[in-house]
Formats: sequence, structure tokens, C-alpha cells
Amino acid sequence: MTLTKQALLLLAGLMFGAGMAAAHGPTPQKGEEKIIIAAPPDKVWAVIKEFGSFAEWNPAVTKCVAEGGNAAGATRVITLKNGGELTEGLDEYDDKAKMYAYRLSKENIEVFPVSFYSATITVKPAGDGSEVEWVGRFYRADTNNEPPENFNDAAAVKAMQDFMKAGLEGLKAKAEGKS
Amino acid sequence: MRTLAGFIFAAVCLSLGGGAAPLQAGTVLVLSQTAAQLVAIDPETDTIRGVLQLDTSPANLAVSPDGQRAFVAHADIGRISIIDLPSWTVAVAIPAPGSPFGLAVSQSGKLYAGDWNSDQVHEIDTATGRVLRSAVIGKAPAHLALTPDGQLLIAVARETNAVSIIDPASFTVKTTLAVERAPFAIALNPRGGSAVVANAQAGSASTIDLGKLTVTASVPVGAMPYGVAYSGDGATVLITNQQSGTVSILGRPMGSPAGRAAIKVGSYPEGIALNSDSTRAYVANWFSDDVSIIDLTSGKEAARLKVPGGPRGVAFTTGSFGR
Repeated sequence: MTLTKQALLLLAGLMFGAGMAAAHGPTPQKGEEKIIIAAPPDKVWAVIKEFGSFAEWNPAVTKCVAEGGNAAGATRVITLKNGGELTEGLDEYDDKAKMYAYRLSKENIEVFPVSFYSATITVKPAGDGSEVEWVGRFYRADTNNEPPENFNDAAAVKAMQDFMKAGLEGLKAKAEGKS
Repeated sequence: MRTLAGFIFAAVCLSLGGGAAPLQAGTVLVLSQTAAQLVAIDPETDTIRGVLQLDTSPANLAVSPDGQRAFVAHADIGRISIIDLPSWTVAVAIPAPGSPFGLAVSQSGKLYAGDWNSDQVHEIDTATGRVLRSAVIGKAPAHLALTPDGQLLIAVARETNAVSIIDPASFTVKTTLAVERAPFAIALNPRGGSAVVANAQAGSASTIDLGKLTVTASVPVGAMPYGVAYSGDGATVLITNQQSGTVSILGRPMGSPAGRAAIKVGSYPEGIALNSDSTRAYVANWFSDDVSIIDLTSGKEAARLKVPGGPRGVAFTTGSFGR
């Protein structure tokens, strides 16, 4: 009986795995969040410019272990507030333009219901202060048609929005010297 | 016959709601996924001449070789819309297995569609929507291309980092060629003999010899290349780099120094197509909801045209109708 139960579990695991076939689907979603910060761009950029400093300004991230500095190809393993880990890779880094672009290299849909994303964060001057823009292209966790509610487009959009909003609020607080 | 043709022409003009038919040969079609609309742009004035509402989340677009019909894959709802271009209407929507994305249409009107989630490419009867034959390829079939002679159907398998070459006659995989990480888009050299595949996650482009069926080279481009097109003479390849927001020009850009250049375009560029004399390229900027029009003589973005939300696919109509 134990064997049957194990076999069933194994089978369920295989089926689940097969269902989650593609780490990337055919229909992407947009993420776009902006925030105005009362600090000059240099100061704001200084907070986020290290690819590995993610946990220092984003309250949704509790730990960040990075390798490769700020060169394209660098990686960071981030631990989310709920305990799960995601791995991200750095694609482009432009200190002068105050931007970097990165992508998800190892998904974990149980803790973050997005199967793949690429994103760019940019600090721009705005009046006496700065505007930080964070944009991303991403795919729902279950790229099959008729995904369950926790793995559909709406769930992915909400997770991405919440993550970006929390990050930008954290960045604002830090750059404005309130945290 | 002349009277009948004249009558049809008049009817077409009327249905398009103007004195001049907006859809002549060389019209630019742009598919906007978020807005679920197909947009017709007049390349002479670079203005929108028609907007056609479609079913939800249209993800990819192909035009039939005779230029009379456009095919649109709705991946999320397992459907393909067939658009009659002269009348600018959705003629019919047929069911397609799973999550259709990649599309190719043969000279004889056969439709090929990939299914992103079942790792298959299907041959579909466009009249009935019936699946005639299927071939299993690698994981996550992305774009498809069919050589004009109908001898090779090339399917990009994104999650397998490979390209499957299908013999359309037997509908079996002849060979599978390894490329680099996450290939997505493909373009055929209009002069024949070769193709280029853009490898999204590798940030590279691979050239394929379609005679020998080998990968001949892989070169670095920008970050996350998602679209590719050849110039008419086959000498230049243009690649959209989604993450970089640029278009890479490989080969010898027309009228500019030899070598490689990257042209800044809108945000998250994807589909790209060139006009018939290869003087201009139209690029769908998925994030910024606009189309970059590149003047290939100067190598600069000449204009940016606002379009409905989430533009991904770009294609030129090739047939002559409506005039």
C-alpha cells in the first residue's frame, strides 16, 4: 500500500511537472511601476547600483547572495519574505545611464507565481529629485490554457506589481533617509 | 468580367469606408496583443488606415504568400483567426490544438501551427480547422518558417535550444539542429539557402545553411533578441533586442559603413519587417505601444507611430488588391 501511495505521489509529481512544461509562455504581461524620490539621482543610484544590494533596499527581499559583481552575466540568489528563493541574472549594466536590466534564471512559482521575467530599473532626474522606473515583461506561472487561479495572468500581474511597489517604496524611504 | 471586377473593387472601397482602399500591396500590418487589434499602416504616409478588432490575446501573425489572408494565433484560447485582407474582415476563426503560436502558410494554402504546450507542429485544413497531420518537435514551439518552395518547414523549439527541420511532404522531422539558449524568432533569407534564428536568452543569432542543414555561425547581438528580418538582397539581417531596446544590424547596412550597428528604438521591441525595397524597417515596440520606423539609408529611427496596446507582430501584405 505504501508503494502504491508513493507511486501515486510520483505520478502526480510527474504530471504536475509536465503541466508546467514551458518556463516561458506565448503571451507576456507588462509590469510598470514608477516612484518620485526627493533625492538626487546620484544618491538614489548609489542605493541600488550594486546588483547584489537588492536586500538592502527592497523589503520584499530578505537575503541576496550575488556573484560576478555588476558585469553582464552576474547572478543573484534572492530570498523572498515568504522564504522562497529565486535566481536572477544580470543582462545589462549602465552606470552612466543609471540603469540595469536582468532576468529570472531560476523560477519558483510556489513562492512567486511568474514563470519568467525580464526587467529593467532606471533612475532618471525629475525636478529637484529623481524618478525611478521599473518595468518588466513576464509570463504567468502555468503557461497552459485555463491555468488555476493562483497561477494565472492576474496572479502573476499582482505578484509583480506588489513586488515592484514594495521595492520602490523601500528605495524611496532609504534614499530619502527615512529608514 | 470587367464589370464584375469593377463591382467588387467598388464594394471593397465602400466596405473600407473611404474613397481609397487602405490595403494595397505593401501595407504594414501590426498585431497588438493587449488591445487585441490588427492595425493597417499606410507606408506612404505612415498613418493608421484601419483597425480590426480580434478575439482575445492574439500573439502571432502570418500573411499568406498570395497576400490575401492574414492568420492570427490566439494562444490562450486555442484559436486561429483567418482575416480576409481585401475586405478587412475576420473571415473565420478555427479551433487549433492547445496554445497555437508559430504560424506558416504554404503557397497552396496549407496552414502550419505550433502548439506551445504540447511540443507539436500541426498541419491544419483552413476550411474546416481539422488537424491533418502532426509532428512532435522540441519543447515550446515558437516561430515557424516555410521555405517558398514548400520543401522545408522550420520550427524553433525554445525550451530545447534547437531548431527542428520538418519535411512537409512526409510531415516528419528530418533533423534537429542545436542552436543557443532560448531560440524564438526565425527569418528566411529571401535569396534562399539560409535562415537566421534569434536566441533570446543567449543574446545571439545563429545562421543555418538550409542546403546542408547545419548551423554555420552564432554571433552575439543585444540582450533578449526577439525578432529577426532580412533585407531583400539577403545581405543584411536586422534583429530586435527586447531587453536593450535596440535593433542590431548584421552584415552591411545599406548606405552606411560596413559592420555592426545598433539603433535605439522603443521599449521591448519584438516583431520587425522590411518594406519591399528594404529602405525602411517597421519595429513593433511591445512595451511602449508604438512602432519605430527605421530609415535604413541613414540607419536612424525616422519616426515613431503610436499604435494600440502591446504590439508584437509586424508583416507586410504582399499581394496587390483593392487597386
